[in-house]
Amino acid sequence: MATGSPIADLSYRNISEIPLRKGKTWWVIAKNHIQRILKVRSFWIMTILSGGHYLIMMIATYFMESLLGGTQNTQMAEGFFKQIVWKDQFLSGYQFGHFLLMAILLLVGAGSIANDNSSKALLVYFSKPCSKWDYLIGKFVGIFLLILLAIMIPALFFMFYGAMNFRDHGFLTDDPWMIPRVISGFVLVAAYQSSIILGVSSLFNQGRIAGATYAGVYVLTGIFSGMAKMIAQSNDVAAGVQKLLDRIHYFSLYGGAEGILKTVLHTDGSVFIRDRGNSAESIVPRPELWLVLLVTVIPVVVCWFIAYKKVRAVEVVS
Amino acid sequence: MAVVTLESLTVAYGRFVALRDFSVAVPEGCVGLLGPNGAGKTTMLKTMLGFIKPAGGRGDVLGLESGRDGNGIRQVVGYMPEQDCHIPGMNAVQFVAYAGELAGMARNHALQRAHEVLEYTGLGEARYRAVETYSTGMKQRIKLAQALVHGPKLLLLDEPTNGLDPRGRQEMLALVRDISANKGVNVLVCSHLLPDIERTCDSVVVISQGQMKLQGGIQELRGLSSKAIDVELRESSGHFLQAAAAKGFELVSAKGNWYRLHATDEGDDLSQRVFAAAAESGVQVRGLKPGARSLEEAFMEAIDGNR
Repeated sequence: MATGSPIADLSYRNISEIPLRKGKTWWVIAKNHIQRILKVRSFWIMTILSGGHYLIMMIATYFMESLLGGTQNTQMAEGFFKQIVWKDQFLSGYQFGHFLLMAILLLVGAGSIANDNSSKALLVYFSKPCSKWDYLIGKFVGIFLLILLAIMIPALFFMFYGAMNFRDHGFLTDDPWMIPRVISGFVLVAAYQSSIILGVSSLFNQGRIAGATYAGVYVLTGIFSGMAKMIAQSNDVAAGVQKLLDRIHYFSLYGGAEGILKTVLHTDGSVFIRDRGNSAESIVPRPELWLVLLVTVIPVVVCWFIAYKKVRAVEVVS
Repeated sequence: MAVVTLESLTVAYGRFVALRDFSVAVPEGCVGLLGPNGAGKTTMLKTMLGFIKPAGGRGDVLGLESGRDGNGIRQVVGYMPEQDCHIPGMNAVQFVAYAGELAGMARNHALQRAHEVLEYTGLGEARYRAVETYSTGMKQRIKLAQALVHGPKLLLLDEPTNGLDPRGRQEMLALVRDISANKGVNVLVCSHLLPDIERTCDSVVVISQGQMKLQGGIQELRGLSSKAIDVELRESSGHFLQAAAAKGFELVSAKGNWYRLHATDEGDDLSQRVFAAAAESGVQVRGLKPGARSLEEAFMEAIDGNR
């Protein structure tokens, strides 16, 4: 019963005329998820660290540009800017930070459904006017926006920096569609990864186990595709086999995301600057569209299907 | 007016039929849903909320059809589940306010209301503690708070005194009674604990093996009438029963030296007739009280199908 607190409103009454919102429950769920994660310090630390490539590029370009103003080493600086493929820097930025982005994904998404399963929170959600789709879309949007934020924050800094300083060196003119391509590429990558973690999380009753499973699959498929890439780079592999091995590179969680980015950015990528030494050989050509769709759409559909089947208010034994 | 109407409802889990051709009209007020474990009480609640799809029949909750307007029903109904449930990583205020937002309340309104409801349910002092750290009794209260936050017109309580110590149980029952009697909320209490139902409810619905066995007001079911009388003798006596029969009584039940007698005629001088029968048979009357069967007796009769 009501206690004698001096600050509380003790005049509890039943309120039958509260204006209750209809619909948009998914946004309440997404907003709550986002607000909780944004308070976690490690999210911000990992987000900043994942932008390491952009930081290195900003320092390097700043240094090179300062050389252009002087009398010595101007040729080296001009060569540097000529060789830079600006849109590839966003691909390289993702490649540089992908492990940290995976860790962010685990922080943001591994427990999203699994922890609700363990605390039977689904009973709370579904006893309110919240459908299964509201719940799943809410969780998905929460994870998606946070991952997008983590990918985009460092990229946006680099975009502004480049747009302000390097337009003369082709930052916006080499590919006028670069910024829309980068944004849509990152949106698709975030959607792909959010869908996968949503499905994995729904399978478990503990966030840690869901996270360990996702990380395990991420690393193991990464090792598998990395081995394929290494074999493909050796000189004694027939051209047909090399193409096959290049394709295998994309059959991993990381490869799927990289494939999306390469396809949307319309690039094979480059190692820091174009055609330096053996760097071109270590680049896996961008995948065909059918391959990207195969390695991304099928896992996404499967994960959504799993999540839809696994999420329910009561455990019904047939 | 009935707040819940179920007509020929059948719910099956594979081959197991949890509710079979179940029909009931739950009246306004505080109603107890009684039944042994596995009777189908929780299944009934979950079907009403739309968690489980019935194999047949239909149900209306507050005038909304449960199969079609699940969201509408859940917006005007508060549900306190039997199991411990909370949203991880939140304190009580955040949890209850979030539950209010999920029910459709505006953020500010939900927050204000969360404080009010937590104070009411006795969690005012612990409202900023993480729900994970709560004791069993506190978890029961917070489940009640999240069910109440949006001002439901009907409250479904599934075993609200589960795991509570005697004091906590008394407080929970007092809260339930207060919600029903003073706050104008219809309450459906699902329990297998008869004393809980007896203390809080105006009427009961008894379920067993997925079928409704009995429904009515508590007083009605206890059979409290002016025609029944309980008599305690110094020692049991067959002569007394013969004398009582001659005075217009029939024996309803006998337990040791306690007899429940029922007058077969319209006379109202029951005690005098009992004393007369005792005097005739030479036995000493030690106790005498109006004959009311306990709810437990009514329940057992309903379950056993003796009624």
